[in-house]
Formats: sequence, C-alpha cells, structure tokens
Amino acid sequence: MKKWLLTLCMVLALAACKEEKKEETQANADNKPVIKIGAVLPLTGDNSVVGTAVKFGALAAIEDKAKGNLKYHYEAVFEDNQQQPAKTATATNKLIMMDKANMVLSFTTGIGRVVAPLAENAKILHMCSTLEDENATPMGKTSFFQGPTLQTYRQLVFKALQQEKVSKLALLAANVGVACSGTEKLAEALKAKGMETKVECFNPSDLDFRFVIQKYQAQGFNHFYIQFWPPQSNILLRQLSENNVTPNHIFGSGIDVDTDTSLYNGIHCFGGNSGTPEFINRLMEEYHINNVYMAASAYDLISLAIDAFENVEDVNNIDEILAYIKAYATRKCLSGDCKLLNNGFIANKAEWRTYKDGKPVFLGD
Amino acid sequence: MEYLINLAILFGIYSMLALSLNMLIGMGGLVSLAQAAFYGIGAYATAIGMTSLGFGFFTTIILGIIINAVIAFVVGKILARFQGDYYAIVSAGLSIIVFSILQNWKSVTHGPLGIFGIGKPEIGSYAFYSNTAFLGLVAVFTVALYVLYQWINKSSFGRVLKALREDEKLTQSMGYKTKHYKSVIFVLSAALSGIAGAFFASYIAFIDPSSFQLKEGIFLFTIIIVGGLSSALGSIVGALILISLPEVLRFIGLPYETAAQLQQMIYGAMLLLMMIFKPQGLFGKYRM
Amino acid sequence: MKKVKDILNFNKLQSGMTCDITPPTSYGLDIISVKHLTKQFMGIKAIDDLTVGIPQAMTVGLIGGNGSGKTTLVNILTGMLRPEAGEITVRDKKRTHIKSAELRKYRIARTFQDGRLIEQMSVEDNLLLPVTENDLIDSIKEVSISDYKDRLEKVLEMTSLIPHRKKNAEELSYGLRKLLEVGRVLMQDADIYFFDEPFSGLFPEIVEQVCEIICGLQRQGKTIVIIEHNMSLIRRLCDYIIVLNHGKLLAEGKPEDVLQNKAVQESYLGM
Repeated sequence: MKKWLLTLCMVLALAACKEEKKEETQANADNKPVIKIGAVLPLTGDNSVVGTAVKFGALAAIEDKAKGNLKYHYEAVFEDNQQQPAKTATATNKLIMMDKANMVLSFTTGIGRVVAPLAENAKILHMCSTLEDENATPMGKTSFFQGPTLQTYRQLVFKALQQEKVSKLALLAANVGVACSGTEKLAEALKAKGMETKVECFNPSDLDFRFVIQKYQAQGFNHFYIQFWPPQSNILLRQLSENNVTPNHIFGSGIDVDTDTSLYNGIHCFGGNSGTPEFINRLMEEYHINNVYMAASAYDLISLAIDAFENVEDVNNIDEILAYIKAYATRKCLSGDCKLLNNGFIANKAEWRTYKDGKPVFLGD
Repeated sequence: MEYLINLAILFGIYSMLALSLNMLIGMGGLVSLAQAAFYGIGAYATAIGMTSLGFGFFTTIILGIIINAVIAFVVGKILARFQGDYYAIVSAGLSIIVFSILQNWKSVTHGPLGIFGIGKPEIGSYAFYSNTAFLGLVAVFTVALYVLYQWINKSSFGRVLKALREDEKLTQSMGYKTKHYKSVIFVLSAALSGIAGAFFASYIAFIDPSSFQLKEGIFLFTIIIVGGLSSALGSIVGALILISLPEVLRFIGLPYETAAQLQQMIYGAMLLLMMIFKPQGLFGKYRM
Repeated sequence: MKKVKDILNFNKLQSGMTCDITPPTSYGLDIISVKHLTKQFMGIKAIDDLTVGIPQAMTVGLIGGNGSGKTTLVNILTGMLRPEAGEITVRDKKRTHIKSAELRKYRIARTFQDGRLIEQMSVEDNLLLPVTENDLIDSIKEVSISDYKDRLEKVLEMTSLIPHRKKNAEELSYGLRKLLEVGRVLMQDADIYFFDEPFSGLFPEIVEQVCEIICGLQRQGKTIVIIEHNMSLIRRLCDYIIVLNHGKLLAEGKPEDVLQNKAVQESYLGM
C-alpha cells in the first residue's frame, strides 16, 4: 500500500511540473519546407547555465531571421548531452537520424570533436561555438568552429592588465579542456612582455585554494588571473574575497557563468561572447535568463547557417553550403568581426567586461 | 534504424562493463567503484596505441588487457586488506587516482584535451567502418563475455566466489585459498572492462578523461543494481534500461524550456520506482 | 540446582538405543590432541593450559557448562581461532595452530553451533561447496558435478533435503538448516568430525535422524566429537567423554566413569 501511495505521489508531482508547451518558433503559417536546426548542448549538469544561454542565442537568431522573407521555415531541436562524449554521440545520432536535422550546433571543442565525424558521415553542417583554442582545427570537412583566437585573447588580457598597472600576476586554472594549457601559454606571453607570472593548475575536484592564494600573496602577488567553471570558480572567488583580494584585482576567463551575476561585480571577465548590451537585455527579458555567456557566438553561427540555407540551390548539397560559408564567414557579427581563418576556424573578438549590480558592463574588445 | 544501431553499440559496450562488474560485485561480493578506471585505461590503451603507436585495434585490446591485469593484480593485493565499505572507499580512491593520471600526464594522454581521430577495427583488408559491422563486432564480444560469465557462474570457481562473498572464513575452512580467488576475479573483471573501453574509444573516436571519472563507476554500479546482482541477464537488462531510458525520454513531447530538466527528473523517478518495487533488482540473485 | 539436575536427567539416564557398536575396551592413539593450550579473550582465559587428546575412531562427548571452553576448543582445532600458547598435534604432526584452509587436507569437518550456511546459495551448492575442486585453475575448469552426483543424491536423501535441493539455505526451516549442516559434513568424507550442538532446538524425529547419521559415521570408524548438553544423547552416542570447566580439563574417560566423578557432579551437574 505504502509503495503504491509513494508512486502516486511521485507521478502527481511530475505531472505538476509540466508546463503548457510554448511555441519555440513562429508557426509555419505559409507551409514552407522545414529546415531543422539541431543543437547538442549541456542543458542539465555542471555547464547548463552556458548551454542554456547558447540555446537561447540560437533561438534568438532563428526568431530574427524569420522576420525576413525566407524560403524555409526553421525549427530548432535541442538535445541535452550533459557535456559528456557518450551522450553527445547518442544525442547527435538522434538529431541526424531521427529528427533529420539539416545541421548540428555544438559547444566546446571536445564535444565538437565527437560531433564532427558524425556530421561529416551524414554530410550535414556542423557548427561549434568554442572558447579560445589554440588547436581548434576543425575535425571533419563539414565543421566550423568559432571563437576568439588565443592571440586576440592574450592581447585583450594584456591590455586590461596594463590598464590596471599589473606587474605581478598569479595565474590559476582548472585542468579541464584548454584552460590549463591556454593559461600556461598566456603566462609565457605575459612574461615575454616583462610581467612576473606564476601558474598553477588544479583538478576539477580541488576546492580549497586558500593555501595557494596566501602563498602567492606572501610572495607579493596581489593580482590573480583565474580560469575555472562553477563550482570551482564561485568557491575561488569567495576564497579570494576572504583573503582581501579586491574584485578589480581579479581577472577571470570563463568564470562569469553563474545565474547570480552579482558575484562578478567589479571583476574583470574575459571570453564568452555575450554580444551587445541590447542583445543581452533582450535575451534576459525575453527568455528570463540571467546569464548570456556565449549566446552571441551561437547567434552568429545560426545566422550564418540560415543565410547559407537561404542562398544555396539545394539545402541537401553540403558542398554548396560549405562553399557559401567559406565565402561569407568573414563578416560583421554580433561577436565583433568574424574572420574565417585558413584552418577553417572562424575567429571572432575576445570580450572584456565587468559587472555592476549584476549587469555586464563592456570595457573593451 | 541507424539511430537504433548506434544505441545498440553503446548498449553492447555497457553490457560488457556490467557483466564484468557483476562478476566482481555480484559473484564475488567485492564492492568496487574502480571499474571506470580500468574502463578508461582500456580506452586510452586503444587511443594511444592506434593514434601514436600505429597498432591495430585488436592488438590494442590485448595491450589494454595486459596493462589492466598488471595494475589490477597489484592494486588487488592492497584492496584485499579491506572489507565491505572500506573496500568500496579505497577502490573509489583508485578511480580518482587514475582519473588524475589521465588528466595530468599530458605528454602521454594529452590531458583534458583528449585524443581524437581514433580509428576503427580492421581484420585483414576489411575495416569495420559501418555502424552495422561495428555493432556486429560488439555483439560478438558481448556474447563471448556473457558465455564467460555463465561459465564462471556454473563452475566450482563461481561457487566458491558466491560462498566467500557471504562468509569468507567458512569458505576458507572448506579448503579454499580465498585471497587467490578474490585476486583472480578482480584481475579478470578489470581486464574485461578494458575491452569495453577499447570499443568505446573506437566508436566515439575521441576520448578525454571526463568519461572515466568516479561517477561513471557509480553509473555502472547503478546498472547492476537495477538489473540485479549476480545475474548475467540482469547485467544486460540493466544496461538496456539505463542506456535506453534517457534516449526514450528524448522522444516524449516535453516543453522545450524544461525538456532536459524534466527528462532527468523522470529518469530519476523511474529508477526510484524500480528500487521501491524491486529492491533486489529485476533479476537479482544476491542481496548485499 | 534441582532444575539443572532434571534437565540433565543425570539420575534417570536412559539406556535406550545405541549405535549397535561394541564399546571399546581400551582406547587407541589420539588422532588429534592439544598440549598446554591457552586462549584468552580480553584477558579472560577461555582455554587455560589445556592438555587433552581425542582418541582415534571414537565418538567423544565434549561437555561442560556455559563458558567452559568447548566451542573455543573446537574452533581452535578447526582453524577458526588461533591459540596464544600451546601445541596441537594432528596425526603426529605438531603445530602451533591450524589454519582453516588446511581442514580439507587434514580431513576434518565440522558443524557450527549457530548454524553457518551460505544463506543465498542453494542447498545443492551448499553441499557441493566443501568437496569440489579447490585448486584455483582446476576449479575454473570444473563445470560438471558428475563426480559428486552419487554422493550428493545419497546425502540429500539421508538429510530429507531432496524436495528442497534448489531452495536457498535461507528459505529452509530451522530443522532443515541443521540437517543441511550435517549433510555438508557428510559430503566431505572426512576422518574427524566435530558436531557443535547438533541437536539443539530440534524436534524428536529430526534428533533421531541426526543420531542415525552419527551412528552411520561411527560404523565407518570415523572419529567424532560432539558438543552437547543432553546427557541421554551423550550416553547413547559417546564412547568417551571430556569435561571442561573454565577452560581446564575437569575429567575424561568412559561415560559411566566420568559422569560418576564427584568433581564433575559438583561443578557441571550441580549436585
């Protein structure tokens, strides 16, 4: 009896969570042929804040493009991969084989490398929104990876450091993805410019940085560059604050991805193109999200893809689509000037911002 | 159909993992959370072997088996000093250590950047490029592991394992050197999970340490709990449920704003219901 | 005191059925013996400088009050415990202790006071466990039980477990569990058997069944040690009695002599 009662309670609780289905895109009133834009994103789990921002960036692009006179009706299909390779493979296969997606959007280089061969086999377009990646050579002939180049990134960080008159910088990074190797190379570059630097990388399970902070403070390092994702980033910020490191002495890459953006008030934040202030406000109000990290990059990629589909003869001819993208990838983007490099990587600007009362304030790019 | 074939490949890989883990936990009563470590070692043996050393896929399987067997033999001796919950905790520590090595030994494993471009198996001039062919190969190995499991289960070796999981002292009194039995099953389980790792690496064609963390070991443990301890059929069914359930949930028409979150909730609720109504798992033959 | 006497039925020992074996006139060499054996638990001596032997091919009753050291002695002789001091001789081989894994080699089998079975294993597997291949490699190869089939069927019949052969041990009633334990030692074809309170809590019919089994072993010339509180059963089954008291040897010898011993009467039988 108790078991059945518990079961009933659980079913009722789940039923109560269901919302009315909202139309994600405008209805296909003119009965146009449908093009499906698939996206494999971390919608739950550790990186869900960014995955959600990317999702709404893509939706905003579809919505804006739909205002024009288009040949096709664009539908978005989102699948959750929890940022795991195995789930990425099944989600991508579902998009390609069951949903018959015409393209797939992914996020971060590691995941992009799982999607790329699957997209190439299926002869469909794959676009990957990524952070700075020195070796972001697209895997697969039908893939484009977009993000700021390391050089662009380093130049912006150096500009910020110069403005704050930093001569000694302790760099702390997570040993995840390109964070550690990128930070090490940044440290080398800054050293070459005459700055004194110290670098340390940490495992994802490391959650106590106080000893390291105090160690470097004792050596006269009062400025910190950090590259972490939550929960490490939030814990580190709190521990920096506890050790009297003021926000304007903190330079963070990829850290401002929490829904509570007031955590980043006064901190120098880099990376993750959010777009213009108007775009940011629009996403926040329309989709009720607090964080729009990487949303602009997704907006740009989907916009480019839609332009390609609209301007080719045959949307199922991947060669035509690739040719169009290669011709038009260099253009003005929401993420600054987008430029297609020789290796197929689309470079956009790096972003430098801070936060005031939880709202992003742009300082440069 | 292609989608189902891809899903079946993953199901096959996780069936192999579940069978190897059930030999250890279900039959031997050794609650180990280190399975993901051996899974990862097997995957990296294939990734490095194929991309850097130019070995063929099947050669890398043997390489992975040997590496796993050696590590498991040494680690098994240390783990043998612990019982019950302590065994699980120490084995979890091994999982964390292996992950740290994979994450930080960048010159060999490329750290968090991972290894990409891992090739497909070849026999002579035939390459298993198509998913159907790859699935066929996975199926052959899965069936072989199933047969091996049943062999061990029916053998005197299996009987001794099932006895020592409940009462090691009593089993010793019947003339069995139980430490050796525990060592053998630990090594065997590690070696077999390395085979699954090899297939995973080749199938996904890209691996990084994030796929082989402690939580993967916990996921594998969940598979055999749901399917049932000490049951080969339970291992297969558990893998089928836990691999396919999240995929089935993708096809339920949930509102897009909350689809992913609701899928997780439904998944969790279904697992909970299964454990409420079938605490021993669906086909379990052993209660811990 | 009166209650103890009544329970032990000292003055009213039944001379009922025996095993139809001619009692020995003299006792053979000890097949297993201990010398100056000592075992302590948290400072309390459970076995205190004990020197005693088990004669070969005898049925020995091991008696004494609660805490006298009977089960401790058996546990030491079967490798479950390790003594702090003393010597154990098994078939002329002197040892400081016996390892439980050596019992099969020494052809020793035992039952447990608390009934130790592999609960989540079938009756058949519980019976097969002590006899199947114990070499690691050979045990992996051994899948068929044809070598043990005849013996298994015989033991299942003797212990009335045929209808329950596929059930797990945990599904059996108390009486059947006791029979399963007895069956397990029967499978082993040992030379020395230790029965630790094999009759406790059993219905009379099952008591008879176990007695018959023990008689069967006697007829085969096996050495049997029985820990038991029921004096009528001791008189009925045993050729030799060892009495322990606080870990020391109080008396040993023929049943009629030992049970008439004044020290035994005072300390154990409460008279």
